[in-house]
Amino acid sequence: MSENGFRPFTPDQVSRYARHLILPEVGGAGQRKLLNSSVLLLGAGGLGSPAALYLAAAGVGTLGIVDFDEVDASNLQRQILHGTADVGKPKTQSAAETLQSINPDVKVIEHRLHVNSENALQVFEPYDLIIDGTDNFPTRYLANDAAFFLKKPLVHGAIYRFEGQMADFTPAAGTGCYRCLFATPPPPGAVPSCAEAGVFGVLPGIIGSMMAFETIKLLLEIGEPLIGKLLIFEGMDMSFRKVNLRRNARCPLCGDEPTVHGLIDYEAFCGAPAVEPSEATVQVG
Amino acid sequence: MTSIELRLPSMLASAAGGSTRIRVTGETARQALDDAFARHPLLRTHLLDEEGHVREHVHLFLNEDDIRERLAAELHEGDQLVVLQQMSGGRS
Repeated sequence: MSENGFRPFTPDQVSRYARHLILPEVGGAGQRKLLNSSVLLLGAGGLGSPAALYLAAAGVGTLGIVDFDEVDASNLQRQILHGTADVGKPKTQSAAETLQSINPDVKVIEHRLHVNSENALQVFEPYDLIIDGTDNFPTRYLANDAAFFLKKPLVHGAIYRFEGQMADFTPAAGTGCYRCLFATPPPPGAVPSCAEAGVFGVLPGIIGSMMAFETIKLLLEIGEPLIGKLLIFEGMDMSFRKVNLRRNARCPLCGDEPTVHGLIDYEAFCGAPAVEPSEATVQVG
Repeated sequence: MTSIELRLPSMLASAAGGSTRIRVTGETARQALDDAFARHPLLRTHLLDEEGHVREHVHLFLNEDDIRERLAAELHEGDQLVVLQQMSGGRS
């Protein structure tokens, strides 16, 4: 330990993080902060893959990965955490192996489960920040509500074909939440999923990388995060647009007279079929 | 009349003749939308409910600002009216 109580960087860490250490906005204090940070990624798929890869490479000390699925050949076109040899493995295991190979400093915690209103608060609680890279509305509303109740920042990203959206929702900032933007989900079937409509393989790489960028900014408290803004990316004309988000006084969660005081049945709320939960947590690294 | 660009997400292109960018005219956002609906009636069904209000999962931005509850917003040359629709993809 050094005089100020911090463990000094090892020679390997000085070499690994050299390009961060010379950035005034990161530096030794920032890098140490990243090493002491923990981030939960909801989904080890299209968005979670690039986000997790960059966060691991950046030295975020603990990464939790929530996913119940196994790697399928149809994932490999965009889910760059996984390779051909990983087909059939649990995504959390494949992700953990990849992240550990990139940076052994990182502790990866596998949550092989369907996150739901019974387990979300317990799963989210140990982490500093939540990344929403899910693929369905029930989990998006659940992630928003659970992060709000736990007062944790939520980095939101969503993709469709050639387009993406992302935003940071920070309950402490009082700048609104996902429900302020979309109080209720679309009617079932009104918005096709990527499985139904397709997705351009590199698109989640762009949005997921920006989610990692925003996550690191929020952890380091640098720059101007996308709080109170929504970024819209349109790949076909390569345009980025930022629009203003406002807290909605009528928001059922964070409005003036909230009606949502705890986690609810999100499958019923979104008109989606219920999913049976499974439980397994594995720590790697 | 002011001519502006209406930008649609690709999931609504099929309701607008296959295009995600439409030139529309009007002095207000409501008039510009009505101009688009006159040529693409199906678009109205996607954006507005039976009472003429913007659907819950749709937002309308005039440049950077959300105007879903103030469609009387005045238009100026060079403005863009942007339709934002909720999307869920990311993991699968």
